[in-house]
Amino acid sequence: VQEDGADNPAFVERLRAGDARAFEELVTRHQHRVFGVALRMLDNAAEAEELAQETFLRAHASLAEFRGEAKLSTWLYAIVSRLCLNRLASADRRVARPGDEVLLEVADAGVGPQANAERGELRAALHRAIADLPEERRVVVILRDLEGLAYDEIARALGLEPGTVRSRLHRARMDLKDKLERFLS
Amino acid sequence: VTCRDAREWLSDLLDDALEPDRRRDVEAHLAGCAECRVELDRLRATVTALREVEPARAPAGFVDRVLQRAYPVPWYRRLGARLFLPLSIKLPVEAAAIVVIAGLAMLVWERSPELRSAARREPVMPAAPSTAQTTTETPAPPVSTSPPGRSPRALLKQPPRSSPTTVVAETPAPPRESTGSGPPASERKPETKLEARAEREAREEPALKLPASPAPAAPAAGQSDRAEIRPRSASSSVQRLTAKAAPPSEFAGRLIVRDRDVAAAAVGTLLTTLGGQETGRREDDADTVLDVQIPEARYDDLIRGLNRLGWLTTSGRPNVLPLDPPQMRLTIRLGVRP
Repeated sequence: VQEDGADNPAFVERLRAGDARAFEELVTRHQHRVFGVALRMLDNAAEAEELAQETFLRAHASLAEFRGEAKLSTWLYAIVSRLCLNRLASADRRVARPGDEVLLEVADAGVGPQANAERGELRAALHRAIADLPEERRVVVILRDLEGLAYDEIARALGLEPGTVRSRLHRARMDLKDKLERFLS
Repeated sequence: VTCRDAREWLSDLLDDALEPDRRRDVEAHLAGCAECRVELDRLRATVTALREVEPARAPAGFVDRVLQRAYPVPWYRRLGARLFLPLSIKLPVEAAAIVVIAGLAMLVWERSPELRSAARREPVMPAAPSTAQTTTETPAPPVSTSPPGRSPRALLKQPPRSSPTTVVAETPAPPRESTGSGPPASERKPETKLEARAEREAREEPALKLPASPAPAAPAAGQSDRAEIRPRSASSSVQRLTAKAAPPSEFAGRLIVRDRDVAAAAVGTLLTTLGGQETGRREDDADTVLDVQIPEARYDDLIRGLNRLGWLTTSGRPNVLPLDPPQMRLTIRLGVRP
């Protein structure tokens, strides 16, 4: 699998043929991205792992049907995004436990305590601001600014029109800008 | 383009996603609107902050957990893996455990006389009828326990005998601590766990007695005119085994004659008559010492014949060698009355 380019056709063929080693390689390569999306969306590490595992199991179950029209990464983003949105919309959505993600943050090495504290404060504020976004905006800004997907990839993953993606992304960024006002001035 | 229109396109402007015409319009507005430029800078800083967020990392073991769910292992394979895998670790550990357990078992066995006694009592044969002569039999010392796989019953096995005195191997060996008040033969330490030691004891026992002390039950007689009849240790492997199982008894005898040579010849004739043979002869001081072997069934005849040759005094009875037919080996000491 190529990180940012097209998927290796031979690798895709191995996946479609049910090659366990190929699937293991797929999970190994994409685990952090899939988990990251789930974590930002759900704001709960345990729940994020559960959904990330479910994402790969869904992919494993339908690998034979993968036609290669989209990149494997885009396909996985689509699965995890939809699982997260469904989970957030479900009635039995468990109460998020704030603070889980903060524990995953690692302080930067090589910067002074004050700068580190300020960056930590900005991170915490950014984390809270992302978590406060409406789900449909949150998933777009995560896929675009945290995961680096292109507009059309986001549109394909979420099944949206590109214009809708642009609009939601703009609203999300403006919300975040307003909430981070004191750090940006 | 108003400020409101321009701010709607700021996000696309940052992503370089505007069409060329709209981009020119927005950039022209920004060139003349300081507030919108500030807004653009803040939005750019926000996007920069978002893109600097450190990517999350899946927890350790995530891949394994996914693979376990994707490829569930049958229960019997999981059980096998827990019991036997990885072989490179479990096999040496299990082998070492077996060695340690076996070593501990041997240590306990060696250090516990009760265990050895219990193991020896187990194969006891049916008890032979006890007679007055069984008092001459000595408790069998413990049979070698090395190798441990050897059956004590095999070592103690005796051929069928009609004599009521054949109780040697049927008497369970007493524990070592219980030999303190027994007869002299019983006082010998049953230190026979090694065959070599047992064999050495069987050989050394008569040698120590022969020159050092007269027979304990001898009647008043001079040193030169005593005749001793004592069992001898056998030389063959079967006899060595028997010697361990049936140590020399307290049997002793003396034959006082007028002429040692004549008496020795008469003893030879007597042995031939009884089916026995002379196996050795030597001179010891003024005595002639004959080593003889006779069938056990003719022992009484031998005693009667020796009585006719001279003044015979005996005490005890020699042990029986498990040959076919059972044999007795005796040492006959011929002496001349001074």
